[in-house]
Amino acid sequence: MNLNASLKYKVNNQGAHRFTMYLFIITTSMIFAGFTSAFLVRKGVGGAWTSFGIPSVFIISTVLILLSSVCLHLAHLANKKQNNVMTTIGLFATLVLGALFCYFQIQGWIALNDAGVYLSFNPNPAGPYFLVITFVHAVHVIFGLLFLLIAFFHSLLLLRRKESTHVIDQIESSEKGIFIIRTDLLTLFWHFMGILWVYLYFFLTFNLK
Amino acid sequence: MQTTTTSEQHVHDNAHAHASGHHHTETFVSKYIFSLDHKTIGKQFLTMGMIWAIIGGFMSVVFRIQLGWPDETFPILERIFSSWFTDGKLNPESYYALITMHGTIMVFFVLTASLSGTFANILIPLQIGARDMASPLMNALSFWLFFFAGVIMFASLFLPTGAASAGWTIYPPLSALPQTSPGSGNGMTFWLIAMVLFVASTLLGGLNYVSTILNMRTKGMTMYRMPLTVWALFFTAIIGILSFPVLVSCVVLLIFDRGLGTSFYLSNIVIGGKLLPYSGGSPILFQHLFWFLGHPEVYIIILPAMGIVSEVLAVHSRKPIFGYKAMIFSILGITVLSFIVWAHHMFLSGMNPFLGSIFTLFTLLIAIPSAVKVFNWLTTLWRGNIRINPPSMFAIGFVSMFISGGLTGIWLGNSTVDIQLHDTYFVVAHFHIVMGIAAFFGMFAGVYHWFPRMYGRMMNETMAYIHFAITFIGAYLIFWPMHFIGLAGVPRRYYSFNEIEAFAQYGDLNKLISIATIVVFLGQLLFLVNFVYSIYRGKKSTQNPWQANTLEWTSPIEGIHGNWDGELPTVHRWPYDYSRNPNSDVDFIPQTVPLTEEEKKDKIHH
Repeated sequence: MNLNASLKYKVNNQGAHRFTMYLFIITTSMIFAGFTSAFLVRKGVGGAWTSFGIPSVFIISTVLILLSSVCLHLAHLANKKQNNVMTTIGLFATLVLGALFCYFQIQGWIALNDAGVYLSFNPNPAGPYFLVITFVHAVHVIFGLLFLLIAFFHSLLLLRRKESTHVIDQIESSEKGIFIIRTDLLTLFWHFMGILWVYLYFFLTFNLK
Repeated sequence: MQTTTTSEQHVHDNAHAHASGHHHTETFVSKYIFSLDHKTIGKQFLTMGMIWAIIGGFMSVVFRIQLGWPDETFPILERIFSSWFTDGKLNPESYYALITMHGTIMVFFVLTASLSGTFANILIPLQIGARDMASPLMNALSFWLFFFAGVIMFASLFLPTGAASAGWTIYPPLSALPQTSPGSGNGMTFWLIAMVLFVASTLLGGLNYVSTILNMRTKGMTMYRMPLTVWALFFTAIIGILSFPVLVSCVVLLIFDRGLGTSFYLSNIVIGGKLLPYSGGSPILFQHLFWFLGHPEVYIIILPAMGIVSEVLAVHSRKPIFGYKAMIFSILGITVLSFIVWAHHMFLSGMNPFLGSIFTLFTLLIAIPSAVKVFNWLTTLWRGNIRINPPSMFAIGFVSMFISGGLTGIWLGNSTVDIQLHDTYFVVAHFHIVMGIAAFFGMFAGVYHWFPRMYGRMMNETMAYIHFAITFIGAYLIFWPMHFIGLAGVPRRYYSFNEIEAFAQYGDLNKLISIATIVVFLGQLLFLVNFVYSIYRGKKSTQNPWQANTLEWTSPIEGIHGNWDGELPTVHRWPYDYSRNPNSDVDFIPQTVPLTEEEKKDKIHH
């Protein structure tokens, strides 16, 4: 199969993968830099712009995504020590907390809607800005969850293989090695999602006061 | 099978034990379609780019026919493009769809994706001595996302309501409200979906290029030993990484405005006597977000061409590039400045005149690094042992175009002069020469120069010279008269000037431009014929046909997977050691040749 033949020439470039993920984080940051500067410019123009209080549900989701970050970090550390059971548990906890984060985001949007902050034909642009920015963040989180799900099933498979005592000298040529690289990248991305949310939460809270 | 060796600097190399045998069986599909090899992906980008350039170029022929002969009817064209024509005349709506798609296709699909995609893919791993990109899979994904973005964009041409027609800059409210024009319906939706896929493709590519250049250089390949092509592609990718995401933010808000009733860009609009329920938005915000991408975008287009020209000029004038570090720092200067000049597209949007003068200042500052580059190209040519051949002709043509188009940029960058020239044919002439034609010249120089590297054969020189003559003379014939039309105040994007007495007098000039357009378009078909002919019937190339120093000419010319048999080459010197030793018969020293004891004592750049 040609795909395998191609992979044979892959070099040991874990560093390059990590670096690429940092670059990806920069690009994603630029999307939100665009949104938040549009927010500030529109707010600066004034006119019809009314601030509103952010529902307290969003505090719960903030705590949840931070907890999920801690869980994933523990899973990542366990993974590096070849502890497959802890890795699987950690990934599972992250998945649950991440899904709960999304659930409470939706609850927050519903609470906003009940308070009169809705999306369509809202004469106050502050509401749609809040909703769109948090929605695009949630879309990123959902993609993160998809990859977490894949990683979780991968770790379940590895649990059954029982090759955890195997010494990894060639990180990209063993399945376990590839799994470690992927989890490493996923952890980076997921921490970024958490940090991004905390930034957005404080940015929106202070600017909507 | 694989043993991983690590040396002091940036070396991640597999010295695989089996030195020969890369003869794994490959089917057509795995070799040419779902390939992960950077050389094949580069060729895929080039092929798609040529197809798109022909489509985009043909569109310009159709709307130039309308502008050149506004009173004539063309039943033949109607027979072929029946939905675009009524009674032998181009519909106004189709005219706007055509100029919109011409701009979109040329700016994004040809000069962004294909120019960067082709040369970054082929040259980066080969010139820095890597087996492939940092992530070959992401690289392939980048091409396929680009391909599907293209499929969607192409499909939009066949919609009953026509393709997007709000101009390639898709300013709202025209682009936001489907009832404003037929093309703002499904055509615009297709445009937006295609562009989101396109941005994803560009980002996947760009992340990979930067990561590859910083992490995968072979032993001895320090940053200051990289060819200028790699430097240019490096900064191009960085600009893309920082600016394209902002286009996503911009487009996401527009999608919400179009589909979900938000008013980010819309406010108090009356259509057909009815006030629409949108309020509180600002169309100027769109312009800020769009041009924050849109301006760096023109440097994304021109920087790879600059890099190619720097390399090609040094090789074919048999001289070291003049001012290697000045070239790098001028690219860096352009990169930084490109992010703080966007509002010079918006001088007439009602912005504060004081802000306008600040943006004028930054804009004019770009003249400095640009001039540094032009002087360095001219001084590289100066008293060189110039070899006249297709790549060097196109590279010199690039310099000519870049000067001609760059000078008018100084006019347009002034907020006061822009009051007269804004949205006239002067602008059309300026940006077509400086980023359209010049970038195409860079691309042609690159294709003629690296064709033997890609296909193992030389391109036919006679056809190439005819192609050059037609393109060079024709391009000036098209765009030079536009300066005068623009100075007279003739606005761009108009469907016809017949009814406007002041502008109808330029009818003959418009005819001349249209004839030149048709001739230049046919000239490009000659290039296509030459390209296909040379792939199969071209003269066989030698290993290093141009006697160049860079690493790609040490890799086997058949193009094996992994690029080099056995060990990767080691680099000992910079890539511009041409005509170093006047007493030697050979006027070039490849990068893989170790420094002699004498050279080590020299103070000059290695």
